[in-house]
Amino acid sequence: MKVLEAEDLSVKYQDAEVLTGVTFSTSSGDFLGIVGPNGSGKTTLVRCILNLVPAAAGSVRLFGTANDRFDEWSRIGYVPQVSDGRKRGFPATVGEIVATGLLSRKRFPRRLTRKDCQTVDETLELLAIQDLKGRMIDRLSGGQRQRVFLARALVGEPELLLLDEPTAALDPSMRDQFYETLIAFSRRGGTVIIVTHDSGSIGRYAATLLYLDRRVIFFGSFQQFCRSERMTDYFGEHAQHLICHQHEGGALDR
Amino acid sequence: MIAEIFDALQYAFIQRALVAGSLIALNCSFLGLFLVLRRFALIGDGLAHVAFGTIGLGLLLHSHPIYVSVPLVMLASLWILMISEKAKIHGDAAIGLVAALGVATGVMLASVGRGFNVDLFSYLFGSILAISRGEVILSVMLSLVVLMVIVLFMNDLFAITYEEEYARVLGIKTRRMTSMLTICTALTVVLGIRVVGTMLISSLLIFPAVTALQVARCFRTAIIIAAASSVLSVVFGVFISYLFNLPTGATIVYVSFLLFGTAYLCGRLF
Amino acid sequence: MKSRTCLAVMLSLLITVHWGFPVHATDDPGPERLQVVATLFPLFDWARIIGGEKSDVNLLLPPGVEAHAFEPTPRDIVAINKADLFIYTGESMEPWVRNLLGSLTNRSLMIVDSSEGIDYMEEARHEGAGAEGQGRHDSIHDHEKEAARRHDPDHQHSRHHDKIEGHHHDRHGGKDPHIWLEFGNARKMVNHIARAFSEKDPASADLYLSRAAEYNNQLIQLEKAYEQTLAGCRHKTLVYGGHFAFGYLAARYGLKHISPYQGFTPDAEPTPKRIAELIDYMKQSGMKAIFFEEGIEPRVAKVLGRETGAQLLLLHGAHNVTKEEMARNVSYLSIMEENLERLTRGLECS
Repeated sequence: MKVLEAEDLSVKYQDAEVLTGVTFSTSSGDFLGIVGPNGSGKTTLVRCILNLVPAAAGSVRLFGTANDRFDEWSRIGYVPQVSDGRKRGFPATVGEIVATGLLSRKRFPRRLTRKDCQTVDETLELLAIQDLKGRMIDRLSGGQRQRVFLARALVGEPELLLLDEPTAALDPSMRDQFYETLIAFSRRGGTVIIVTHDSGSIGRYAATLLYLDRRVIFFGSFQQFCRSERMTDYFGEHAQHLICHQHEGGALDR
Repeated sequence: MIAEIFDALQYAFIQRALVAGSLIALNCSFLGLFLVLRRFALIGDGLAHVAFGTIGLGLLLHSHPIYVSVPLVMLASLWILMISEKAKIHGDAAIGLVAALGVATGVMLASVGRGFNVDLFSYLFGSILAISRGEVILSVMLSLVVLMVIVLFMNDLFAITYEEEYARVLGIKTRRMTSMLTICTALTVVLGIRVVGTMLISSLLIFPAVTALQVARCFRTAIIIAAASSVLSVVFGVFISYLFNLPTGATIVYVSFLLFGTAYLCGRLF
Repeated sequence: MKSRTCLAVMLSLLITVHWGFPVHATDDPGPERLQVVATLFPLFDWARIIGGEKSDVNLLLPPGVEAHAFEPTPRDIVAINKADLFIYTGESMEPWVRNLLGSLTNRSLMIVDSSEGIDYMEEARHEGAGAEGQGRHDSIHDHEKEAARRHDPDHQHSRHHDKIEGHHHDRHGGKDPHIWLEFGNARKMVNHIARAFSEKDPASADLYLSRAAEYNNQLIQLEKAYEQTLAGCRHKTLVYGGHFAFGYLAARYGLKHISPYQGFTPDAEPTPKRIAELIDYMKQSGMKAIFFEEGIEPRVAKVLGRETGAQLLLLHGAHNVTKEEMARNVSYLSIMEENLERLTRGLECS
């Protein structure tokens, strides 16, 4: 089943085209890495998929429904980029923030029950951050906050997980743990779309690659990417090898 | 002293001040917390200035100023939102713009209409002691509406306040919510103007919120502290002003400030 | 901070921006007529009576505008500069006149200070509020006793009275500008105006002076009516829900007044204790009326009325009149007659 279909998607910011003619799709169970240089429109693509930015042309379908009419938001978990300046001194605990991830499953009036609290606890345990539950969100380190946001995205048991640069503030061991969680999620049948500029390690986890630079440079499986002569021409052999980890043979094993 | 407080409670005008004042303060504290956290706190001040203009219009039309003000200030609040979204003007600039227009309208109408400028100015300070029974009933009803809206949408508002885009991905109609929040603010401001006046209304919106933010570690506590401090400042303000023969509105602001100072120190020490 | 700035801007705008023209008493601007500008309504009223068909009298205050906050606009100053006569109440009512004089270029303009030769009282306050502290209930009763004593006009400067006035002098220092609300003063002011007219237009001097004399007779009649009526009242204390302009009148007829306001401006909030005391006082004394001033919504008076069941009665200070009143052709005399009626009702005079 197609989880996400983007067709000929274009996004304009003021008059400049940020994205042009982006077409790709993912099916359930997929693990898609979106990579590209800074300013290539990765974040814009994610925001456009979620209908946070309007598309100038083209369409996005989520679970078969056009994204502007889509309303089954509980099927999607979203981990936005962590910016440091956000909401300094905001009076909320990790528990309260994670619980908001459950609101997409609720109809008016969105009340949280005792059972919801248990769900939150379980998710926090899953990510091994239950000790953070009573901490103020504002007092966490960037890495802790990214894990909290992952918990918030996972707590509603979504089918599609969209992550925007979720590993930026994580140290390497945390990062591996983080990816393990995502892999476990996709093994259970969940779809993962992850945006990262960390093209060096994405190949170890993602099965499919979307290389973006304002338009789609490459979309396909990692194997195809690494064997593609077109990509060798585009990146040069060295860079292609770095992405493919051919010196480790990582991506090709999967 | 206790006896004197009981004496004070005998008077209907004190009872009215306590009831209407506490309810409006309670509304203000809830709304204020969301507004302060969304960096939109000055909208109260801006809408109070708009209300100044609409009250001028009400006086000119010889109708009760509140009836004219409620719909017009609501429209103005939506207009502020629209400007700040569409016209690439920041929220504070949009507020300043609409507020200035409101005041200009008031001045213009006062000048055209002649002869009600003193009445118009009495709204600058309001008078919590001179609330009529009708105003109390109106305040109670509208306050209950606003309170109900806030309680029903508490989680939605919380999500939006923390992160608006994320709230949209949760399926929350953020634009509708924000409009609702500003409309509630508009209602509360118009009611509050009669009670504490244009000048003090933003203190009712801002003080309880910043007081709560000094000590609260979670949102639930923040709401409770804001609500408690707002009601306490009105109740203590009325009684202290009665006991020591001080102007009530100003006393309320001082009590709010005192509570804020205490909270600040607590926040530093613990 | 922001709102404070806004307030300042608003006030200054309102004070300076008055849109339009002073009201014309007569429309036909004959070249022979004396052009007269008067600041307050009583002066305007008297000038139009004395000048009659021989003058165009303009009221400087736009209708309904609060007199104490008024300052002339550039346009007003031009109008004054073009006039033959400019009549104002006195320095304490129109402090801006002093600055105005320097900017006038019309040498032939005659400026009339109608307060000349009138003894000012210290600013009238409701004595007893604020500074006296706990003894306030007592002070209200003291005042009633004092009022009774002062009923005889000869007692006007009783020792007690002086003490209170002295006390007030320390706190406020200002003079009570509302001289026109006492008939003796009013007669003096009418005479000033008539004399000014005569000097400007000596040919008609006799006419002006005889009109003034005739009018003063009417004032004397009304004064007598006040004296007789107010001598037999059940209550000697006015409860007043605004800023009290009737200090001269009250002093003349031995009335006392109390008001919830502590300061001078009716915009400022009265304190709850003061309101409570007034309620108690009115209940104890069986007072069935509370007076309020013109031009301002009597919110505090309404509260007192609701609590005590007392009736609200307008006591018109005649500073200025509204458009409607102007259209109804009210005059100083009619305003004062109505005031007497309401005083009779409110104080329960026989």
